[in-house]
Amino acid sequence: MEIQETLWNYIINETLGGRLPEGFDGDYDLIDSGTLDSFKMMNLIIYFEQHYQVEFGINDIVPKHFKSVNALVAFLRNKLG
Amino acid sequence: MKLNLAECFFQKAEQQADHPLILGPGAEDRTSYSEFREEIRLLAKRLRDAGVGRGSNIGLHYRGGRDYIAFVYAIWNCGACVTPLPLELTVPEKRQIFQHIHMDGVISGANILDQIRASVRPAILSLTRQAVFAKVDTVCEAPSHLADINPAFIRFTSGTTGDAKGVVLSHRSIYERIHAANQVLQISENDRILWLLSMDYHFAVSIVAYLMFGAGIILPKNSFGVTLLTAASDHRATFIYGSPIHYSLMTQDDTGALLPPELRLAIVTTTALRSEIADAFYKRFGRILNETYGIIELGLPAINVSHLKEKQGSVGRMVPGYELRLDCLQGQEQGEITIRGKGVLDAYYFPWQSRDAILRQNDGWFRTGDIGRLDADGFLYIVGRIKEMISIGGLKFFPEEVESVLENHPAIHAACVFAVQERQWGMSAMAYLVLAEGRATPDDNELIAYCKKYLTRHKIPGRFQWVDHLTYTASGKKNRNPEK
Repeated sequence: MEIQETLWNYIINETLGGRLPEGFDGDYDLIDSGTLDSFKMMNLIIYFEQHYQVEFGINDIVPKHFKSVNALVAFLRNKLG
Repeated sequence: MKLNLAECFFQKAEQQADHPLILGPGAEDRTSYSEFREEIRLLAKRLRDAGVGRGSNIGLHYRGGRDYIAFVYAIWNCGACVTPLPLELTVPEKRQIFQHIHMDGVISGANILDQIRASVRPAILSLTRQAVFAKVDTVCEAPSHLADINPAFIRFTSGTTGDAKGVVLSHRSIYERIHAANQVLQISENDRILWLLSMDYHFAVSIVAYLMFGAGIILPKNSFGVTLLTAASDHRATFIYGSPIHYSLMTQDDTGALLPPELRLAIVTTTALRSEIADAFYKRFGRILNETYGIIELGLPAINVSHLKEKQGSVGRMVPGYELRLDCLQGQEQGEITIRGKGVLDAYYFPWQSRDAILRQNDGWFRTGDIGRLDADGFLYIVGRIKEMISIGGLKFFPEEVESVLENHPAIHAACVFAVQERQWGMSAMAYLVLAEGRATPDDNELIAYCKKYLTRHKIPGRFQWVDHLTYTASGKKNRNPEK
């Protein structure tokens, strides 16, 4: 499955509990909206590590990578080379 | 009249009505002690109208934050007890809590009620815009002695032996342990504490202490390093309470943000602090992190407030009111940490064991299961753990729980789960697996999908390795340091 599709599914089902907020799209702000609190962020990182066999360094855990689904997709693609 | 922690807070709110209690998540967001007291009273009235009263036990299935604190105090104000239902658990893990701990009702986030729907009755009462109250379909009875100890908190843990255990804390025990810890922490109305941990696991010794001693609690929006530093700076934090990953995230921030000059303590808890993180924090901010020894059964019996670089790595001296005894093998300087003192747990819930029964097993001392040593100045160092708890980004679990799930897989004969320090920001879990006879080896994706049915995400091992056999210690226990 494409990274984008996998990530959409994860965010919608596991982070948002299957309920999309109004105006949700690839640029929806996951941080300012409070969608990604610290616990959900940690689970998302663990999911990435398990699913894509990538390792996150401490410098990867910064807002610009987690700001939106599109930012996450770009970051993951870059990470996977 | 029995001690009630909600009454203690109301008295404090009377003394300092306009003092800020909750600060954040926005720079201008503030709730005063009197405003919070009124919220609690209103919630308590709604709960009483719903039938919550003395002797009730109420599950709390809600995200950490200001509402969580208000719900706990409202439940206490009704004379009832609280059992947290951590959100990160899977549906079967939550069901297990209902099966072992008698609950009369649950406060849940409205949007996550479905996760516990099978355990609650259909009639739902709206408590706030985002929270609902539901009565529980009881499947077990409360232990007959529970009401005698005036319980405030029941923390469900899956025990090290595989037996389910709930740690029961009374209002008196919590009161005693926070007063003991405060002889060292010296929390007062002058403090503003940046709070970074899970309220499901860290409420009884910390949040309660802040409300008891009149401090303000800073709640940041998320855990990115820049967010934490901004929140600390905006609200002039005097105190931070976090796990190693939070300090690591602050250290890597590249915006140049600084910690406020008012900061006097940066407490580290949940798991051992690696020296690289402590060194990096010192280099970036010029501050020594304050390591502690926290344990749900005891509170905070040791805290390192020395601010001495040469004492880095120690959890400090024992807090007044606690005594330490190291049960060392002959000729060894290190041994199992046993402690006695204030605020020891009141009971294990299932199977029921009173405090007296627990302490009687070891001459009145509580066996922690951790191995420690003391230096010449009386500073305690944790050098190992008998109970091999794993902490991933501050989220804890026991390996036995994961092993029992893995060993139920038809292709797995035996499993050994252990922590490996492989990430920059903390531990990862790994599993050694022995294949069952005549079975094909499942691949990692199949194992992850299988685990996900029973375990919350952070408990699923990051790596699986198939081995011919497991290794065992001299006493016959699984060797959870197989890579050493």
